[in-house]
Amino acid sequence: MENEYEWILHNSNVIEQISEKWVIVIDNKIVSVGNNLKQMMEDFRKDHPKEVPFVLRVPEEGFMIV
Amino acid sequence: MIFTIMHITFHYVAERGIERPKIPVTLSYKGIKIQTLALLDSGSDLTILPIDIAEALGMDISGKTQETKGIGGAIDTVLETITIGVGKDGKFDIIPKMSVRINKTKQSPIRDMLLGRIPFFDHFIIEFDEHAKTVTLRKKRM
Repeated sequence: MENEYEWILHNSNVIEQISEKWVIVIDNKIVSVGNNLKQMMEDFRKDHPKEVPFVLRVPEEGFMIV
Repeated sequence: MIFTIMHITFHYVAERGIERPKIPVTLSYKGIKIQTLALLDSGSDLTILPIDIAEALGMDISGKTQETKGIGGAIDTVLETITIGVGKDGKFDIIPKMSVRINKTKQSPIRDMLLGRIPFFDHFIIEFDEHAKTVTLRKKRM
């Protein structure tokens, strides 16, 4: 987890170009982008049955109040 | 007397020029694991899991729906439990069977996992340093 987390911290400019979509990161690479995370995970597990993916979604631009 | 047995500091995550107190977590549900970023949200009573992640984990979302109110309106949620792991640099903590509310409202503008006070904040002393853009979790033992 730490590798992907550190990569995400230092490559936010790369991930931000993918607007409001789910992203799967493994081994410091973006391996999948899309709107349907469930389908993306099913496809991911076919090729990476034992790996734990890092998933994230960059929110819309602007401040948030949650 | 409180003893600190774990102490981890995370840097805020930059998102389109705004830095937020998000931490990496590992979510486990019936053998399926996902890592993601979760927003530490002291203003939220509850811990909220977006339906996208719940479905990706194969979670059951057919349970009783409860309306949960927030600043943007109300969302429909379902109560479930999940195992969550937090940590880095060789220091990890696992919270088994932690209660979460799955946000079933796909149109919700909030698509993040929100770590609210119940129950996540029960497990740690959490310190936000907005100036340094860091958040520190200390595991406490009474």
